[in-house]
Amino acid sequence: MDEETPVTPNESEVGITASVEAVENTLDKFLDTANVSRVYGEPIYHGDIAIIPAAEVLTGLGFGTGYGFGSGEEEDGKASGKGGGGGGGGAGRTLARPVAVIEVSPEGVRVKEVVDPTKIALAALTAAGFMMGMLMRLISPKRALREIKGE
Amino acid sequence: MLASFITTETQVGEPVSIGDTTIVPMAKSLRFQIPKLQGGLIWNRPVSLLVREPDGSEEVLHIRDVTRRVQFGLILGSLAGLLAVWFVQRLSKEEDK
Repeated sequence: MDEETPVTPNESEVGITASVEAVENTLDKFLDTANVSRVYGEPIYHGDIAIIPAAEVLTGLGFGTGYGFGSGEEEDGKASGKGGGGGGGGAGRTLARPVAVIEVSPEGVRVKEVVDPTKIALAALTAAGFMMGMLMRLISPKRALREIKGE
Repeated sequence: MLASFITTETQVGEPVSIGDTTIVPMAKSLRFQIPKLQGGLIWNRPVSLLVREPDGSEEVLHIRDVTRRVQFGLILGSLAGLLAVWFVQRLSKEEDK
């Protein structure tokens, strides 16, 4: 004796409104990344010295939503039905990297840069690999042979 | 056309008072958003600080991203080196002919 409760468009609309609100909230949070407060941290006090961390923040986000309604015509005495549904999906990522530390002391304010040796080493290896590959291609014997033959 | 996709903005934060010194942080954000598409990319980074001393003097301290600069330097250096090698090789071949 299962009695199906027909889904009224109003209920569907409520669901869609909730999903749209969720999307808007996500978008608001995403746009909030551009705020200056996301880049500078709260001051950390240690005796006379206060330290403010500063970082760069990179955020990427993409999403999509969809919804639809439908209704069935009455056939052979069977009740008609109405319904609707919606869905959405998305993905995003936030990356943060320390850039500098601001030191405020009785002597004054100093900015101390944060150097990431791992990232520099990776960039150096990539650049070296790229250069080696291109150099090998430039001075390859096959290429020289082709040029001698005039091909 | 590209300007409609990319927007840059310099933002000034709330002043922070530490002792007698007031610091006003500044950040620059780059926003990449394709119209009619939901989503985008935001790159936000610190650029400078305005330091107000108790005697009323003001100083701007720039924040340099050393890691980023070294990364770009390495990539640009390797590209420039390759271009130089290619150019020298081409010159020597033309001389041989």
